[in-house]
Amino acid sequence: MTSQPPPLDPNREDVEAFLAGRRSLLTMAFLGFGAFTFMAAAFAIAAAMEGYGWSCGLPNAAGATIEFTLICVTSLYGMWVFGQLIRCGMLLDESGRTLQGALDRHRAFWIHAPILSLLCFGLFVAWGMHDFQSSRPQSR
Amino acid sequence: MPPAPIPSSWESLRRLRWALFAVCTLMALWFVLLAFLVIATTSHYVEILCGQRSFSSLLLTNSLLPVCLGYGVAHYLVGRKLLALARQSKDLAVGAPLRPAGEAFSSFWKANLRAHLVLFAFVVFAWAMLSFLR
Repeated sequence: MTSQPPPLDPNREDVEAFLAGRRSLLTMAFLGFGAFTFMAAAFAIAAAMEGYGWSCGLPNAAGATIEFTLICVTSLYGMWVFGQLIRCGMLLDESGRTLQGALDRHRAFWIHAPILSLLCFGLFVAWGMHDFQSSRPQSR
Repeated sequence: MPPAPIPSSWESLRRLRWALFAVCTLMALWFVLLAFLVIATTSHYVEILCGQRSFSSLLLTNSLLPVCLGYGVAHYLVGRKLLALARQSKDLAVGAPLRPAGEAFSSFWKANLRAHLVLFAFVVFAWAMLSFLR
């Protein structure tokens, strides 16, 4: 039985190059996580207080349901995506042993960030349409 | 002789490249789409029904034009850093030094944070101006 050679470890200079951006990355990650947490919490409170999403009138039901679903999905998904970035920053350390895990989280973040971006855009459009619809002058 | 194991850090960076190129394309698409939506949906109604100039012509004479241009320039600068990271990931050979990719990684996240902090500062400033100093 042949013994496997040990995997290549990144050297100290490589790790230091990644570590230089750790603080900025973590700051951005916590800002994003906080923003989506705030979004989820604010919407949960609004939904609990007003019954928004369940007890709206029939003409608005379809639009409000789409908006409700989009907000729920986007906020929870955003928390998960930025959670990946937080874990990436947490895994970056001077030993370099967890660099692979950190880069895997970083890759996961960038794979899911475009989907989150599209969801936010959809939410933006839905919110704009809802706002436009509710601000139209009534005919009678 | 057994094949040499693939170092996971290198492989992870190499696999990142398509996601980063996709994000760069998406950022450009966001610009085109937003510009198209805003201009296409406002200019007709504003100019014909209201008898006023369109959004695009109003923007050119608006005091917020530098802010809009700054927003565009910030996207260009941060997008350039992201593209540099994507290129470093693409050109990475197995076992090659990770330092250039690491530098591109750090450079991108620093530029990204700076751009967002400037954006947040402007939003807070504008909100304060509109709320308290009207």
